[in-house]
This record gives sequence, C-alpha cells and structure tokens, in this order.
Amino acid sequence: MRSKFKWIFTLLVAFTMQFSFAQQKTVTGVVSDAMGPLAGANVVVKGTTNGTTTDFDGNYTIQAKQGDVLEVTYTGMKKATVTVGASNVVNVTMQEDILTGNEVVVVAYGAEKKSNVTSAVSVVKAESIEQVPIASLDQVLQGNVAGLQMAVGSGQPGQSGTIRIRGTSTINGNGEPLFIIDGVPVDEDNFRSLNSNDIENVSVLKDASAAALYGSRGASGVVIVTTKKGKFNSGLKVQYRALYGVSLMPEAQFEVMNTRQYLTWQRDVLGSGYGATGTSGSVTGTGPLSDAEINAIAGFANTNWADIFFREGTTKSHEINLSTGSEKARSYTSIGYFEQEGITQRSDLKRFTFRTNYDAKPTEKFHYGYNLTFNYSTNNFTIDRARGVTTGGDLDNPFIVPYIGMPYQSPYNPDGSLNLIGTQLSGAYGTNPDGTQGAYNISNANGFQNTPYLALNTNAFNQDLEEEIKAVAQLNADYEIIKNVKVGGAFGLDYTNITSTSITDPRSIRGGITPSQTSVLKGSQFEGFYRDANFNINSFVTYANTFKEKHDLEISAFTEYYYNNIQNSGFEAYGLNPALLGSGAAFVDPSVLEAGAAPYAPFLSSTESELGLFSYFGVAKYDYDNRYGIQLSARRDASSRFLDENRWGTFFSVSGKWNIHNEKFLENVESIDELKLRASYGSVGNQGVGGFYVGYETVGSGNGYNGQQAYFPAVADKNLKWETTTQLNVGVDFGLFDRLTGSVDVYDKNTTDLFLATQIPFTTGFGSVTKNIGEMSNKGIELTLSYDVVKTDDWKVNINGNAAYNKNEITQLDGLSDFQGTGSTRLTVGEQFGSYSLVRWAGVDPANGQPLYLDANGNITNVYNLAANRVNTGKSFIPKYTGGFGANISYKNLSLSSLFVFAAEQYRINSSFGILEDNGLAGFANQSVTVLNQWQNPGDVSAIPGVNYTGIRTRLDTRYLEDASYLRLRNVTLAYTLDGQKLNKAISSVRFYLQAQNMLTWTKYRGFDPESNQASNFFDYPTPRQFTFGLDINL
Amino acid sequence: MKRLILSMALLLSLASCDEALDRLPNDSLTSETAYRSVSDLQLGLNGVMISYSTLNTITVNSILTDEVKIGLDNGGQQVSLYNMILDPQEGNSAGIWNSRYVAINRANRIIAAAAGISPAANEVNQYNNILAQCYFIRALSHLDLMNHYSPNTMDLTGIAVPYIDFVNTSTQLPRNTVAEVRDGILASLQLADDFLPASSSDIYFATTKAIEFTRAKVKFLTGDYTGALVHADNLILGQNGFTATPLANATQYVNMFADTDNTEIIFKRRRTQLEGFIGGVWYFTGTGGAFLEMSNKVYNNLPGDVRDGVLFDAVGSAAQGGPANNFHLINKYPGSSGFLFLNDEKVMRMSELVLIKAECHARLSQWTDAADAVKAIRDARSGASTPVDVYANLQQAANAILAERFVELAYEGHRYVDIKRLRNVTNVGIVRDPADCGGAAPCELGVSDRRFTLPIPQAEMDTNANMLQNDDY
Repeated sequence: MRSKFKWIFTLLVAFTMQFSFAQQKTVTGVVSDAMGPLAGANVVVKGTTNGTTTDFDGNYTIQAKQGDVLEVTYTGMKKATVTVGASNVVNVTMQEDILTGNEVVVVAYGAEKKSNVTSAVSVVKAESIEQVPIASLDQVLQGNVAGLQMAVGSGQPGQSGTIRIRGTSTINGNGEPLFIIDGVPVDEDNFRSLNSNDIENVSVLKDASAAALYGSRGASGVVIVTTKKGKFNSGLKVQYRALYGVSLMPEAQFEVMNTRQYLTWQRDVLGSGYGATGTSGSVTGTGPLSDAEINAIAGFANTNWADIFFREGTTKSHEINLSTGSEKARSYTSIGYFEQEGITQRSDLKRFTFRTNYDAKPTEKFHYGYNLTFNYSTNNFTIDRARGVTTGGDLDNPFIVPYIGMPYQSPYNPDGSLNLIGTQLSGAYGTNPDGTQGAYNISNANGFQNTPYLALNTNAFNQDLEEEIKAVAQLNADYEIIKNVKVGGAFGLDYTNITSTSITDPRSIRGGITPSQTSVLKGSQFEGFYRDANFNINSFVTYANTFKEKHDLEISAFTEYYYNNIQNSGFEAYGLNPALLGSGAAFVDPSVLEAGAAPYAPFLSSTESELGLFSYFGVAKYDYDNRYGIQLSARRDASSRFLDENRWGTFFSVSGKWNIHNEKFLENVESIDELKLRASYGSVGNQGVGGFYVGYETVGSGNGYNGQQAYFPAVADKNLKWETTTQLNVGVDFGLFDRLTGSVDVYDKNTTDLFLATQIPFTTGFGSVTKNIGEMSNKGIELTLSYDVVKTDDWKVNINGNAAYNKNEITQLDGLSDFQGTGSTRLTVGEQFGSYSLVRWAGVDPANGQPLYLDANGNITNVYNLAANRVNTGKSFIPKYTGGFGANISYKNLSLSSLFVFAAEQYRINSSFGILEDNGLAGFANQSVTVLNQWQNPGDVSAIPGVNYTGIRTRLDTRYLEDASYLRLRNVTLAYTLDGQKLNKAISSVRFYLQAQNMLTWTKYRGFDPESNQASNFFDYPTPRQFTFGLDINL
Repeated sequence: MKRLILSMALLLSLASCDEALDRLPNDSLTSETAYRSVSDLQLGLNGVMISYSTLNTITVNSILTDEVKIGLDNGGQQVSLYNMILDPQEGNSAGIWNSRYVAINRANRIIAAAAGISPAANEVNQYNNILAQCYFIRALSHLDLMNHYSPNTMDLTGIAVPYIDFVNTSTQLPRNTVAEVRDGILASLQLADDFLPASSSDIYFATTKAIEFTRAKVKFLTGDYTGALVHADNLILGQNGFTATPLANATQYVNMFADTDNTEIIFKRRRTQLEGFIGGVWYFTGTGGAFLEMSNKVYNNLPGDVRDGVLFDAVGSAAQGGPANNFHLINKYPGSSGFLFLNDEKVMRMSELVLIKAECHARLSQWTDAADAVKAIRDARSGASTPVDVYANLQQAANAILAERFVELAYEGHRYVDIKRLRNVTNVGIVRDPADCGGAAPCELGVSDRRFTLPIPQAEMDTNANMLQNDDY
C-alpha cells in the first residue's frame, strides 16, 4: 500500500514540477511509520535552517516552496526525502533503518546509534528468540552470533549451557560471559525461570572496548539482554501467544546387539554370560544355550531399551502481554505459563513468569523507570550427569540403559504393565528349586544385571525436585541537573531462591538400601534451601554536548558496588513412613538406636558466602561529523576475593571508528550504503575463580576422627590477583547495493596471570593451589553476512550466516614443566586449551588380537605406557570453527525460515561407547554390534581386540577420541500471518507457525548427541528433537 | 556549580566501600586465627587423626596381589590395578603417598601451632597428649611411606622418602636414606613417648604399647632384628615395664573383626559411618554387590581354624552358587553398629607382632624360636596345640611365615609389602591361582619386577625437581 502510494505521489510530483512556480506556501502533513504517527520527527527544508518537529499526532506545518526538498529524520529510521509538489499536503512514511547504521544498539550502560559504535558488538533480535520451545535463553543464542559458541550438556528442560565468546580465555577462572538483563548482572548459569519472549534484543559485546565498562566481570565477553518496553504515544496493544509441541529422542548413531546376536555371541565368542552358561540372575543354567533356546528367548523378549526409556514429551506455553504508552510514560507487562516434559520419565519444567517494565519522563529533565520480573518454576530431574551428583555411571541413570540394558530382558510384567522391579533373569528375585520365582533380593535388585528395572524403578518412585523463585528487578532514574549534565543511578537485584526436595522412597529399590540394607526403616528425604541474592548499585554523572553541530562529546564517570550473598542449607532425614512421604511427619526420631548405632542420624548443613566488588570508572566519547569517533575508558576495580594490595586491578580501553561512507569521496557511490572501519584495544579483568575466599588461607571445620568436629588446614596463594585479558580488534561493517550487509572482525586476545590450580609437591600436604600462572592467546576471525536475494513486494528471500574461527594457544606457563594435568587433556605450552594428550591407539594385532599402540616415536608397541608414550593430539573438545546459517523466505503472508548451526574441529572421548566394546562387562551389559566383528582367530583383521583384552577402554588412548563435529538443522519455522481484520475488527493480526528444533543432525559421533560442554561423554542426557505449533494473536 | 558539586558528591558517596570488600569467610577460620587455645589444638588433632588411614594400603596390598579376584558384580572397578597396571599415574598407589603426607603436614602444623600456646595447669595433660598423638602419626605415616616407596628398607644407605618434621609449604624436598628416615621415625616416637600422659590407654589413639609396636616394626623393616625383638618381646612377654598383651582366643578373634573385642588390639583406627566404609575396598557398600571377591588362592589356603569363617562369607557366597560357581565373598569386614562393611582398621594387633618376632628370629637363624612363634599363632587360632614346624634354612622359615601371614593378615594391608620384603628369600613373586587370572590379568609378578616398589606419583615428579623416581618407571 505504502509503496504504491509513494510511487503515485512521486509520479505526481514529476508531472507537476515543470509547471509550478517557486512560491512560498504552507505545507502540512503527517509523518508516520509502520506502527503509526511519529511524534518528534524532524522536518527540515534541505539546505536551509528552516525546520520543525512533528506534534503528538505526527503532524507538522512548514513553509516551503514547490521544488524544495524536505528531509525528515527520526532516530532509528532511514532519512526520508520528499520533494514538495503542487499539493500542500505532504505525508511521509518512514522506514526502519537497518542498513545504514542509524539503528540503535544497546551497549554498556546505554544505547548508541549503530553508526557511532566503535567496538565489536553483535545483536540478536527478538524474532530469533521468541517462541522457541527452549526454556533457557542462553541456549537460544546458539548459531545466532559469530564467535559465540554455545554447548549444552543435557537435554533436561531448562538446562543452561556453556557459552564461550571468542574461545576460552581462562583456565580455572569463570570463562562464561557476564549476563546483564536490563542493567542487572545476573547468574549466567540459570535462565530456566525467565521468559525469553520478553526479550527485545540481545547485544553480545565481544571486544575489550565494548566489555570494558563491565571490566570487573567482562573478560569473557558480555551479553546484554534488553526486555521489551512499551512505546511512547502508542495505544494499548495486546498479544496472546501459545505453543504446543512434542519432544522426541534424537537418533542414535550406534547400534547395540539384539537378543539373538547377544546370546549367540556370548556362547560362541565370550564364553561367559547367559548365552554361554544358561545362568542369568538367579536362574542357574546347565550349559550353553542351544540355537533353539536362543530363538525361544528372542521370541519372548528382544528389547530395544531406548524405546522404553525415551518418551514423547509435550511442551505447552501460553502468554499474554500488554504494552502501552502515553506522552510521558510507557509500560510493558507480560504473564506467561510454560510447561515442558523431557524425553524421559520425571524430567520436566513448569513455570509461571511475570514481567512489568515501566518508563516515565514526567519532565523534560527527569526520567525514571523500573523493570521487574518475578517467576516461579518447578524442575523435576531424572538421574542426569549434568546435575553433578552422578558420574553418569549410576545404574539408575535412564540414559545408561539404551546402551547396556540386556535385550533378552523383557520390560513388561506378564499383565503387560511396565516391570519396575526386575525378574529372576535379572536377579531381583531368587529362583526356587522348582524354577518358580523366589524371594525378592534387595542386593541383586541394586546390581548390574537389574540395571533397566532399577532405572525404571527410580524414575517411578523417587523424586528430585527443585522449586525456584527468581526475581530480577531494577530501578533507575536520571536527572539533568544543569544543562548538558545528567546525574543518575540504578539499583539492581537478581534474586534466586531454590528449594530442593529429593526423596528416596522406602518402597523403591534404592530405598531398600537407604540409609543401609540392615536398618529397619528405609528411605531418605533431602531438603535444601539455596538463596543467591545479587545487589548492584551504580551512580553516574554524564556531560554530553554538541559543538558546532559536528562535534559530539560525552564524558561520564561511574561508581558501582556489587554484593553477592549466597546462603545454602539443608538436611537429609533417613527412615521414612511411606504413608506420609514428603512431610516431616514421615521422619523417624533420629535418636533411635539400632544395634547401638543411630542409623537415622540426619545430615545437616548450613553455609553462607559473600562477595563484594567495587569499581569506579570513566568513559569519554567523541564523534566528529558522524565520520570519526573515538572512545576512551579507564577503570579501577576491587574484589573481596583478593587480599590487600592485590585487591585492585586497573583496566583501560581505547577504540575508534571511521564511517567511510559518510566521506565526500563516497557520496556519489550509490552501491555503498555503509562502510565502517572499527578498531579497539584494551584490557578487561577477571576475578571469578574458586570460591569467594580463594585468597584466604582458611582453616575449615568438618567431621574429624571418631565423628568429632575437627579443623582442616587449606593452602592459598596470598598473592593471588586479577587475571587480565587484553584484546586488539579490527573490524569492518558494510552494506552494499542495498542488499548485502555484513561485518568482518579479526582479533588477537591475550590473557595474562591466568588462574591456574597449580600443582605443588604433595610432600607439602596439598596437591594444588590456585595461582596466577602463564599466558594464553586466542586469535580469530568472524564473518557475518546477510544477502537479500529477492526483494519484491510479494517475495522476499534472504540468506544469512555467520562463521567464526578461533585459534587458542597456551603461550607460556611461567616455568612450570611444559604440561600440567594428569587427565585426558593437558595444558601444554604451544598447544590449545582442552587439548587431549593421549597414547595413540594403533589397532589390533591380527596375529593374537592384542591391542597395539604407538610409542612416542611412532613405533608400534603392545605395551600401554602412558607416562612415556602420551603425545599431544592437537585435538580439543572446544571447536575451532563455529557458526550458523539459514534462509528467510517469504511470499506475501507466508514465511519459511531456517537456522543451521555447526561446530567443526571438535573432539570428545566417547566413554559411553567404550562400555559397549569392553567384553569384561559383557556378562551384564549389552555390547555394540561392532563387537560381532572383533578379533577371534589369528589372521583376523579387526578394530576390536580379542575377548581377553578387557578393561582397557579406560586407558588414556585415542581409541575413543571421536570427531564430534556436527551440522544441525537447529530451527526451521513455517509461518502464516493472517490479517485479523478479516476475522474480527478487534484483531489486528494472527500468526500461525510450525517449528522443528534439531530436526536433523549430521555427525560421525557414535552416540545420541554430538553436542556437549564436557571433555568426555558418559551416558549424558541428549538434546531432544522438538516439533511445535504456535499461535500469536495481536489485538 | 553547586549542583555539579552535589552530583560529584553523589558519585563519590559509594567510593567509601572498602570495608565492604573485607569479606572474611563465614564458614571457616583463617590460619591466623584458628589456633588460639588447647581446645583449638584438639580440633586440629581430630583433623590429623582422621587423615591417617590404612584404607589405601589395604587397597593396594589386596588388589595388586593374590588376595582377590574380579567379582561377579564388577563393572570395571579396580580392574586396572588388578591387571597390575602400575605407573606413576596410578591413583591408588598415589593415594598412599598423598594421604600420608597430608597426615604429616597436618601433624606438623599442629605441632607448630602448639608452640605458640601455653596451656593452663589443668590443660597440660591434654596439651601433651595432642603433641604425642601428632608425633605418633608423623612416625607411622613415614613408616608406611618407607615401606611402600623404598626399593629396599633393609639397605640403610638406599633411598627412602622425604622425612619431614616441619611445616613444608613449598620446598622441593629430596628423598632421604632409609637410615635417615628410620632415625626420624624413632626420634618422633621418642617425642611421642615423652609427651604421652602416663594414663593413656585408649587403643583408638597412640599408647605406649602402640609406640613400642611401631619401634619394633621400624627396626624389623630396617634390618635391626635384635633391636626389634626387644620391643616385640616387651609386649608379647610383658617385660621392661610393659604388661603382656595376649593373642585373641577363637571367640575373641571372631568378635575382634566385628569390633566387639579388643583383646589383641594395640592400635585401631576408628571408622564411623560418616566416612567411607572399609568394606568398600571390595564391595559396593550400598548394594552389597562384590566387585572384588576372595581369590581362589585364599580360599584354597583356608587354614581350617577360626580364621576360615573370618575370611570367607560362606552364607553370603552360597546365595550365588558359592565356590562351585566360583563365587567367594570376603568376610573380614562384616560390619558393626548396624552397618554392613563398617569396621575399624586394625592397624596394629598382636599376631602381626608375633609374626614379626618369628621373622626376626628366622633372620637371625634362630629356627626354633621362629617356629615357636608361628605355632603360637596357630595354637591361638585353632584353640589347640598344633605341631611345631621345623625349619632348616631361612627360605623354609620365610615360606612358612609368609603363608601364615597370608591367612592371618589377609585384607589388612600387608600382602604386597610382605611379598616384596621376602621375595628375594623365597624366590617367588606374586603368583595368582590360575582360576583368578588370565587375559589382561597377569597370573604372576616376577621377583625382580619394578612393580614391587610403588612409583613416586607423577604429580610429585612434575612439581618436585629434587624428587628421584624409582627404577624403571
């Protein structure tokens, strides 16, 4: 409509022009954008000082002559130019400016025009974040920002991932970016209670200059989240949004044996287990099973345990939001409910979210506002390695069962219900002399052979629940105290309260051995109370002025105090009355004695820790004619983690930009819409290491000899100080042919005084102490591109993508021996962080089936000697290449968008798969089908050693170091927008959409999921595939 | 201007936050403030005592040798150690080194802290006792270290381990000789003896008898057999101011392993349910599944006396087919206080001392005395007079003593160092029963194998430039 109008109008102007006279007249009109009239737009007659601004309803009146050109400007909009024609009415519709850099970008402590930004900042807009059925905001950022790598270790709903910006720049310090939500620093590891739909945009600050203003915590980058606000001078807008969907198990990239394969292999090759002896659980056999017997067993049960343990989880979400704005105030309010089931039993997340944002400018000089979100969520967990309380190897971990669950065990009772206890074959029940089912055997029910039933039992009976109240609030105000000088301040709060309840039901299999197998009463209940309160107070003075129209100067000074208080307490009671489960009434008196001991003595704990940070800093910005800009900053920070003079760190940055497209020599080059050169250099500190008292030589208290209280000494390096990351960044932003936009950044980052848990001789009584040791470098390049292939009224095709390469290297370790660490990865000077140092696997000797390795010199040996033969593989679990790409295609009201993400040059030790090829476990654990081709006779060429070579999977060799690179169709959305007027006058539009999450994954990794934030996999909770239907109704 | 000053004042109002940065730990003390009284030292001592445990020596001595086989419920637990994969990265053996030096460090810290505290008159006994216990733990820890890490404790000029009698915070200490460590241990024991209040008789702590026992053991291990015999006989015969401690009779013996009888106990390391259960060396203590079982070798050598039932859990084994199904459960730590597998560590009991006495006599070619000592054990265990052995040479005596130690002290942390000490006499290394080994699990460890001395842990080698690794690692 609008473009048609414009076209007709232009035509009109062209016709009338030559017949008109240069005569001053009164021109009126309305300036509007897609949303409606714009108040406060500037209208100027080009080449004169004759100008005005639009009123509340977007109206303006100006004296102009026919043929004059009106220039209309408004922040965030493309400059509009209209030639005055014969008509006295000139209405102007403005377009949102994306290409030419008048876009506003949220940066540290404020917002800036994109063209003024001097540092490396990437922005993710609401469209990429909204209505994605992933409950944790940080996960949603995956693939959307060049140089931001996100990996998650569990598919549990609400699970937070690990984000690395531009590689890893610390060893033992906090390597995740600082998250700021509406000015409040928040916990970077917990977003499950926050509603991502409330987010307007996310700015990712990547270089030293951008992050400098968060210098005390910004060394690993800063992610600034800005939530939605209402618009001044807009009416009430109401939106209802809903989602419904399912989560499904990912496809397994490995295959386990079926009943026939497993039993036949046990009989013919392994020589032990059910197939070879007829003995399983309490069933005692008489010898090897015959083919007929195996067939009969396979006919009875041929279980693929993945089918039993993975379920279809549902996702439901409803939200209503309202936004409104008057001349002096605006607000946004949302209320939402989100519910998501995981892909296995008892894994879920439910949450209520509430947000209200308010902004007011009661006078021209005074502004204040608040942002408040208050949320309640409940999270049920299954046994999940990412919870930290299990190694993954627990037999009731549901994700171990699809690997090791024996196929000849039936998951069902004779009546067809799920068997939650076990069978004679699994040992849970004894076998009577006549072969009938004997007594329940609690010890064997907890044993290896009963693994599938134990996992089902724990999922069915036991509880691991967290209930969280999370509030993030901020109050801010500023006042222009004298002309061009503003003072202001803000108070922020991030409050998290988690109540955990873990119940081991006395009737469950695990309950039968809790607190001990011999106690009369069983079961346990743990309740934990965790409160994490973060307070942030800052105040500032800003002087801003423009001289001679071309010189923009802004100087600010800030102070900031941050205080974090964490309280954690809990108890675990033992011996429960099952009838009153969940209540304290179920607890037995803990002083009850049995056999002279107190088996029900509860476990009690209470801790508190505090952190204080204080900073003062200043920043100066100068911009000349929107061409040249420079920004300087300096800051001093103190952290209560460190002692005395080491407490303070000093950091600075300098950055500049050159908007080349604004230069005269490019004025007539139509093809260049934007060309900007940026450069920055600066340093940022990191104090996030260890506990809050890492600098103190503490003497702790705990359980000592004979159950008495005791003191335990600890060591500390009292000279511990700030870790410093210095970064040089050069970047170019460009826009060409009104179609292609993008940016390229190169950086060189160097971290000194690395936090390192440095090994010290154990003859000191301690193994390590955290010191500042060594240096690390990250160098990389990032590219972001967006290209409009087709841009017509009906058709729009855009392809976009980002990619990043990062090279990490440990450049020195301060004279420590040139490697540190004894695990699978080592820190080695000249190598990247997270680099695996392993003995090289050289396959299997065809002559005798024994494993072969390469020694340090590359010669084949049959001796595994870690100390002598481990070498650096040059492979790390942190990918070198990451990125995302996709296309947005729309035809009229129908649109299709996609996002592919990838990570390349990333490796991981696949310990889960290793279990499937360890014949030492094959008596009670299923094996991979690859084992069917293992070495058996001299001359066999196989990748798997003979059956006698058991237990070697845990050796630190490259056998299970697998390429975990992947390409994943992270999101694909098909949407249709319906003009609401056709349905009902009250409805402005309706949008329907279908989404698929993680629909396709390409990888060589032999597991369920190539993505992880760990150096090895051990039966982790995989990321699900999700399919959802969504609906937005706008009133 | 006024407003500008006002705004600057507002800005600086937060600048006086330095005291807000002094955040001292709420849940712990700092080294400057922790030890100010005798009761503080007592809390420190409780931390010293708990850090001394023989759990890791029991683990290595049991699993590396012929005491166990892989259990029915093994999911990979300790398979590597059972396969005799022993290198400087091996965690169990490194644990011996690390935990003993933790104990030594803690003891030295309390000894140092005590120097700054003057006890009141009514605290002198407690204060002296704290010091005595610290010196005792320091001595015992060094003895264990030397026994496991010195290639040959009878070579007085050979290498042992660093002897540390001060609070070492960063010094990279070299290994002392056997003689130096022996002298250090004896000096610490003398200090323990000097400080120990006369009334001390709690077997859960150092007593004069425990000190005397340790003296016997350190002299025995370093080749001073005559000297060792004096200390051993002091406790066995009750001379030189000591009362005699008898061997347990059959009933007492069974009760001893249920922790209800202490007749022949000299020193016990108490374990409560707040720590890992000792049976966890071989069992999943929660479920009762055995990832390691008694070896066929132990089972085939059960002596036919009260020890059979103490070593072998016949009832539990029968539930899974028993010996016929190659299923043998260890019964040495049956549990106590209502907890399965929870038992105290019998660090020093009289039968060991009697067998030390036997070996000293054998080393001194006193064959009859040696045979009598072995007979004393057998008599006590069978409750009857057993035939006396006749030894014609050291090898015969050593074989008999080693065999007796095998069944008397099994699963108590002796087997590996016993074979190590006597292998050059018996000319036999570790020999497992064929039913206990095969595949990746070696059936033998040759007499001259490097693995008869534990490797110095890699972490120590990486951080201590003055540390010397044992041969061939």
